[in-house]
Amino acid sequence: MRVAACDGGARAEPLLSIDRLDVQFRLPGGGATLKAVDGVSFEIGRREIFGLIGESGSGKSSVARAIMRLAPIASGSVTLAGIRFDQLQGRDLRRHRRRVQMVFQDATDSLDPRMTIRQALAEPLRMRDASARDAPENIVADLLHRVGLDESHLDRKPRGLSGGQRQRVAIARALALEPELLVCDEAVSALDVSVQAGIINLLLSLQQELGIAVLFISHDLGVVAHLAERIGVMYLGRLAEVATAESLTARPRHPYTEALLAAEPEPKPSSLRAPRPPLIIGDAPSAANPPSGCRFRTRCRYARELCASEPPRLRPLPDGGLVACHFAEELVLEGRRA
Amino acid sequence: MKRMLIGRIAALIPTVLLASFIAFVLVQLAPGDASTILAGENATAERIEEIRRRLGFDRSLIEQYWTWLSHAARGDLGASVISQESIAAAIGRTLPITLHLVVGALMVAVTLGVIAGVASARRADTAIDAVIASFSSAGAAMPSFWLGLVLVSIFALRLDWLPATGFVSLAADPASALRHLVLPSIALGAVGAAEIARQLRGVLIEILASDHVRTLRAKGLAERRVVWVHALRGAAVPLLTIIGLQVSRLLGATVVVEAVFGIQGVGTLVVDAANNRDYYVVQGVVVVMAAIVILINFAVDVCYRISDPRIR
Amino acid sequence: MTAKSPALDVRGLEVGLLTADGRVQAVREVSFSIGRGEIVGLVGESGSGKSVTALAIMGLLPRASSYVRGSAVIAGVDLLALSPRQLARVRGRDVGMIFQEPMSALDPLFRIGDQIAETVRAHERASWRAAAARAVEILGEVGIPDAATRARAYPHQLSGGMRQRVMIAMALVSAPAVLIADEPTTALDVTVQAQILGLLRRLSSDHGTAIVLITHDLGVAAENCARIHTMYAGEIVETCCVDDALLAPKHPYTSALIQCIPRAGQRRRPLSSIPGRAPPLAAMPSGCRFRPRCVHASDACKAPQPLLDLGDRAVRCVRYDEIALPGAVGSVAP
Repeated sequence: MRVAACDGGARAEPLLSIDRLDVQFRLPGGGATLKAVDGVSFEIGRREIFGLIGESGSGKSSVARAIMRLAPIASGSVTLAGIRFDQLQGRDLRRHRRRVQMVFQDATDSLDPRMTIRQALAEPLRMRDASARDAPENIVADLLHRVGLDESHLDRKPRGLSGGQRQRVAIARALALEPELLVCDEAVSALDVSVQAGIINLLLSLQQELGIAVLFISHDLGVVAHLAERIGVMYLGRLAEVATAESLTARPRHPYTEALLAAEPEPKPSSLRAPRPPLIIGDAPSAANPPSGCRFRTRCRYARELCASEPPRLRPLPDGGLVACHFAEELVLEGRRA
Repeated sequence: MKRMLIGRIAALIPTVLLASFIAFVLVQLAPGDASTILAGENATAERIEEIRRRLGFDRSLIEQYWTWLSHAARGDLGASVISQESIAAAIGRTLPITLHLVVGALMVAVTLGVIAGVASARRADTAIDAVIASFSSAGAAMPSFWLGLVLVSIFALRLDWLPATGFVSLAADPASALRHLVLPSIALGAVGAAEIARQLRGVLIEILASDHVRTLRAKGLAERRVVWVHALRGAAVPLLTIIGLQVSRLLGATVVVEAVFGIQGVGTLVVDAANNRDYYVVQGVVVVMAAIVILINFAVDVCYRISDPRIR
Repeated sequence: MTAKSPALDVRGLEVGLLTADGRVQAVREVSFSIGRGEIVGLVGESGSGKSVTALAIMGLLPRASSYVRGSAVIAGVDLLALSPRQLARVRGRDVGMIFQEPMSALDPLFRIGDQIAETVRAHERASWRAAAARAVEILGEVGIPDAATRARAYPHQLSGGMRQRVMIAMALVSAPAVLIADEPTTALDVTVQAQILGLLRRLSSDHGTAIVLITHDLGVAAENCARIHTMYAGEIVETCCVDDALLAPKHPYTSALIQCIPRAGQRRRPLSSIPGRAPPLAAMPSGCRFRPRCVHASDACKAPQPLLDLGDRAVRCVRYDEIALPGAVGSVAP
């Protein structure tokens, strides 16, 4: 099923197109398989920031890793600017890999603690231009400025920097290869709120200045809604809903999105907080043994018989957006007021 | 878990076989053989050659090994070419004696080691810790035979509290047996105690600083219970590893202590046999020891799984 | 304030730590009190000293490398003046604590029912059977389904939300008057977080437990706390009821923190962030500790800043009545 672009979405040929992606893992000590990602399809346009939200077990990180060719793809396709990215091998793969770069949650883990910042940034530059023995100083300095740091940081090691600065270095390193798509997997989740804001601003400005597209993965709805133009909501390996940030928060069309919005605490005084629908009950079912039919039905307030027998397909709604729910047209769900 | 256990038990057999083959090869590498000794002082070359042929030492290595193996599989480890005693019987006679020693040493090592390890972990970086650490280093550096000799000279010869040499079986006379075991056990177990104390200290310090121990204290548990019930349980896996290694070491180290205390154990048996080039005795002892060590490792493995529910 | 004596009264708390940079003062001049059934928030970012404050009250800081001064009084007893043995008796019985990472906070080698029963037996004379029964009872109360069977489970067999419920059960089984919750939901999914916070609110109102809720999330504070204390660089910089803090903060840090949070009407516009970093513990500026990062800093801020008592609120800023600070909703009219 080719997913049509929805409001504010990709117009021209999309930069990244995921079609019916399946990612499976073999469970230890058994042989049973766990389907971390089940038939996920969405598109990201050039210069677009696309958010992917979900809780633990939703499969959002597996999607990111599958795109980066860091996780095995059981079936489905990943198309980057018209090329079947998931099928590239050898030299072709190395050539195109630089077009998608990833930033992880904890820069402490992704930066080599024994390399100085200068060395960490020079490494990808050397890859970019194999002939140059030493990366030109000005390019390295340029990268640093772009992420809001300066030359004084060059000779330090990661432990001499704060969490926010380390994350900026990780972003700079990702940018060194001039990618077209930046995949950020919980890139701000480990940072303090005041530092988070800086990184969010940085990503917004990078989109403006470099025309880079971003796949922003997070569990924090507030941050994603601020940053992304369109958002996909994942639950237990499947997409529940895809919509623009505005309509997702104001008028969710899937019960899980409603539940997420209801659960997210708002830093507003009680006089300004609207009453909310009751919280969902229970824990998420195991991803290794998901419920039949619609996977959310065991915790859904609106579940009916059909939900157990038939899995809902992700389909477009007349007023824009995509939803995987049998009763999306009938349900009136509560969102958040601005 | 049962399936895994059966698999592990089945894997023991090839391991023992491999050990026996390696031992056989190593023994054969030593120059000379028993026939030289049997032939006596003034033997001619032909006499030695004749004895060699009679005993089968002139055949190829593989042939000799195969002969040995087919007999061993039936429980017949051969006979000592020097004394004609059945090797199986000799081992059956001497092994229990050595095991008395090993168990005694193990008890000394574990008791002293755990007490010292816990004490130094609880008072890490204080004077007590430093004192225990220096004793541990000294204990680890002390050769067992030297320690044995010192103990004998002080406690047996000068103070006459304990016997200097000899062995009495527990079955025969428990009180006397224990008196005879005290000094050799200490001599043999001191190094082990030092090792255990040192390793346990490191592991416990880490555990005592961990998040779940913080919760235990926050719950209001007495520190004694936190350390002896919870922290020590957490250290069970590394502790079991060390104990397993210690047993393997002790089996080899008994030789020296047996010599100092005049105890006729397996160590003495195998050293005499080696000096006499009595191949098959050495082979028999090595294989039995290897089997014991492999079994100990297996037992430690099983204990791991019992002690940590996450591994099961 | 209530006429009854507070459940927990902390006065003049000061904590020093021995770190790689030498002796540093991690927390100073921290005073607050909390009444029966109240939920009070200690809000701050990493390094603000909120966790250290909690650990100091509980006596859980390593004795060899820390010192604690001041007083923390529960039921007439000053926790900070007790010997380790007396403290062990008070912990769990009069004051409980739950931590951030439920996976590493529970002993992985013991069944959860046994861990709770052990707590019961540490504080009262009870047989194992009676203690085990109490454990099952309280597991049911915190919302663990099929409690009798689940009590025989090990921590690694439970989900994160379940483990946190177990921690809460363990902390509350001896009905302490005060519960200190150090970032109890930070490591959990947002839907589970909402459930756990709801559970804490219900337990507090059912049993009258006073809760000190430590968090960096203003949203969590807004929805669960009656009053909050904002901490920065080891000090309390503002104390007031949570609605006042959000509508009309009086300290520039509180206000700046609120501005950093993404909010609906401002999508995809640059967020305000706080430039610079919190000063390192070893090199605290004299005078106001927020001064290097504060847009309203003036010469008056170079002097040491006491916590000014304004009746029902307090603020550590000498310019509080001169500056207009934006709150959670739009800007304040100048």
